[in-house]
Amino acid sequence: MNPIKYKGRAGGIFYLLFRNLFFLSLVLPLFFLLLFSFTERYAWPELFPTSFSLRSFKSILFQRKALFQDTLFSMVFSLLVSLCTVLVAFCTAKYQNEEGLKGKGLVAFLVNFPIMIPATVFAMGAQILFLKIKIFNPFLTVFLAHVLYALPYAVSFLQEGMSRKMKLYEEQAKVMGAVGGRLFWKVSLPLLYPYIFPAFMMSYILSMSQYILTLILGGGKVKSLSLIMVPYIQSGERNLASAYGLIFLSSSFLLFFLLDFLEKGIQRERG
Amino acid sequence: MKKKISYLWILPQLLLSTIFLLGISYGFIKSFLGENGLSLEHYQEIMGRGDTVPSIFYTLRLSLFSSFLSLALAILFSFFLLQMGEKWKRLEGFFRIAIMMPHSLVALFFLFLLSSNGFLARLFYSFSWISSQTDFPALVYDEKGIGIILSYLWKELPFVLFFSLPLAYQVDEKAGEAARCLGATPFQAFWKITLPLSIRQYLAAFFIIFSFSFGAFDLPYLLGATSPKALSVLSYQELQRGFLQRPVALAYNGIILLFSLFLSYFYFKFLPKKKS
Amino acid sequence: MEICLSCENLELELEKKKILKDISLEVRSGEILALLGESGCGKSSLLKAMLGLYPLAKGKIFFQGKEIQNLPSHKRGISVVFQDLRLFPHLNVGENVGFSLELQKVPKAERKQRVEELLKLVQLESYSERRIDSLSGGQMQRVAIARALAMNEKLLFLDEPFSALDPNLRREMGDFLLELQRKENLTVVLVTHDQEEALRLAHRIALMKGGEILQVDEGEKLYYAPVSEYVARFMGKGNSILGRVEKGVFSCPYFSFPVEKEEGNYSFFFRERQLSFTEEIGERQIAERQIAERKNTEKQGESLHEVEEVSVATEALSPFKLIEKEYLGEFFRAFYKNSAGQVLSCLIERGEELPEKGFPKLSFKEGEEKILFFNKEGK
Repeated sequence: MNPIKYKGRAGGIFYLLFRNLFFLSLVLPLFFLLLFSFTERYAWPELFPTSFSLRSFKSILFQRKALFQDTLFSMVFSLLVSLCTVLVAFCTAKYQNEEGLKGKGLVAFLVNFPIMIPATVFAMGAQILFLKIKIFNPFLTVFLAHVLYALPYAVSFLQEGMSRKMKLYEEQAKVMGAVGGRLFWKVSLPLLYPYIFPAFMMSYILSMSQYILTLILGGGKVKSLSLIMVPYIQSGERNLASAYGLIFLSSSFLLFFLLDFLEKGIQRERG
Repeated sequence: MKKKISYLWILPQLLLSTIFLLGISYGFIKSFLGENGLSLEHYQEIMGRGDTVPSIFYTLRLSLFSSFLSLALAILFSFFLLQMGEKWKRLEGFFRIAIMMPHSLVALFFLFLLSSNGFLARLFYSFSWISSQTDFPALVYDEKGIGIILSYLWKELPFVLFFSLPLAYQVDEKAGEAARCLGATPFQAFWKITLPLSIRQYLAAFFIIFSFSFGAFDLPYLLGATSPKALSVLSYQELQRGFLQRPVALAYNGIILLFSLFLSYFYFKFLPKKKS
Repeated sequence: MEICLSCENLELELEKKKILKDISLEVRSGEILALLGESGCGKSSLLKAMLGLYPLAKGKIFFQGKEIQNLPSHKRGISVVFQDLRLFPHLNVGENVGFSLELQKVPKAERKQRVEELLKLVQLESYSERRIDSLSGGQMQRVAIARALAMNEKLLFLDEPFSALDPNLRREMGDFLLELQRKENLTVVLVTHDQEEALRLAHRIALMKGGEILQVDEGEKLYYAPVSEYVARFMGKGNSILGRVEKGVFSCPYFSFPVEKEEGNYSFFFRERQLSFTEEIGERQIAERQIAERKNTEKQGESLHEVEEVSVATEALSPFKLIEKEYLGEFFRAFYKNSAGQVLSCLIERGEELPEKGFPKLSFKEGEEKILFFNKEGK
């Protein structure tokens, strides 16, 4: 006999309602993406396409060799960006977590500043500035820009991870004799990994998604997946745009599973 | 001794932030550099153009409307989500995924759905609500920017929820529960107690999305009409015209920057204070 | 005797754990009932279940004659002061107190008057416009009480209301509550883990453990007539000595007395106040022992027993030595230990004599029963 409590009965209905709503709003677009990447023709007024083919994928893989290479390059590039972001975020989070250090408010502000400043504003100014300095080739500038815009999220994840008793565990381990490298591998890393995971994913996706940043600073030499995809969106070539979208999502999923697999490995190390 | 070394940790971030600040400042300063030193000529030029002011209003309208809608819906959703008790946490994953979606993909989705050649149009046709493609109302590439607003909404609503709901839940668990024990219906408890006590968090999120959508490029570029154009798009177009037009582009950016800074002031004002 | 609130066979399960197992309880009008117990015994959960904050698996709750277990919290009409008070920071004192009245659409003038009345009652007159963050701990407590009373001026639930306060303030608030209850003839259900507080404030105490109510009685009865050793020890410090009941007589190394209990091994529990030490074995004690021994030998008629009894008697009659003294303000707690390792404690007033060595002596007041707990193992 369950009493009629708002949180009991009605709460259950709301939960189902919202879960299905959210699920649908995510799945529906994905469904369309999948659908259209395999579509040959989608003539009006068909509700759903009736002719399918692998044309778009074939074209990506075989016909436009350059684009295919660009796609791969973009993935590797974004992976490197993520790695760098996580490393920098780790340093910053460590700083924020240490006691007795000054200027934490300022640091928090600096970290989060890119969120408030649109990419176009930074990109145009930076482009002019760094043209003048030889070291900053397009690759480096785009790389740094991607890292800058991913940092706010990565730092927030890592900071959250570090605030939880990290120090206590580390001190405990030090007392028991674990130092330096061992300390890191056996204690710090496993504890922090659940936070490194989303930080890495977020950075990767963000980097792959950056359009205007890559466009302006890259000067045509650097391409993110978004950059490759956008022209097809504009031209209305649904199937190719969808195919690239699918590739984007697939690579994200792949990364997700890779990181998940790694997590199991690290947890095993922990013993 | 230890303390000094600890300061090293912040070096990477400082380096990057310096680059960031330099980039912005340089662009901003350059917009004030005319033929003979500091001048407002570039700003005067763009204000003189016929499409600038409409663009400002258009951009403002789009971002304000989408952000406000996101905020309102987020508050509405929050009420219902809070009624589930702890269960809402299981839905957080959905928010995260939506937030991570690239804008270009979201634009693509809405093109699929809302273009005159899109799914909705075909659906209406199959119900005989319209008789040809042109009958379908223009939801994308239009002056009203409905497609853009919906696209922003798709990402911004989850963001506001992700940002604010955890706090709202904490408040609801304590003060909200107390209100219910004093006779408040769940809605009354939400409206009179939980919401007022967590509104700052929601407003902080509002200013983030407002600022972001004002200066964003991707969505207006992909889904926007030929006129009016968003400020960021105008800026980009100037840039494409060539080297000489660069300062003009920077002037557009200057406007965007000033507005963003203005909004970020409000963000930091509303930013909920962290309890140690 | 009017019943204000009653529960029948309540069962509560949270996260697969049984929090309340078949709870039945009556709350009488005009009384202060304390729900007492250690952490995790279910006392707070019982309160919350009565408030409708937890869904019951089974059972009924009656309030003013109505069944309320199926009603949501906001319809039950029972007010509560939470442990963390939960005053609304964005409203001032007057608005907090009048919150429930506003919800009931009481007209502004009437509301204001009622709020003033309540504030006067809790000795916070003219505090109506003040902000919550400007109040002291004790003041906040009283605002919370006033707020609860605004909704229900007859029944008040308090969930460990004073545990966050320092001891002096705690005492003050306790006194305040007593006076308030007396003046307004409130019915109060108070959750606490402090048995001293329960004894001082409550008319009746319901002692809980592991989701069950062990005993519901006046404080004094729980203290001097507990139903189990757990209850006895929870209510206050005491001593226990193992002994045996045979043929209507309980005997343990130092005492024996007639009881109406079945044969078997028992644990004799007595309070510190009922014990003192003297340097000589009391004559009465010797006499009692002789009577007991004689009774045994008479009835058994076997020499073996005689021998045993005597040997037991001489062995057990080793004296106690004073080993430690605890200063408690007005009293000392003295610990005595004998050669067998048995430790007993008693209370001595400042200035009283404390023998270094002695034998235990019982002093029971009239009407005080000797408490025996059946002890299966006998060890």
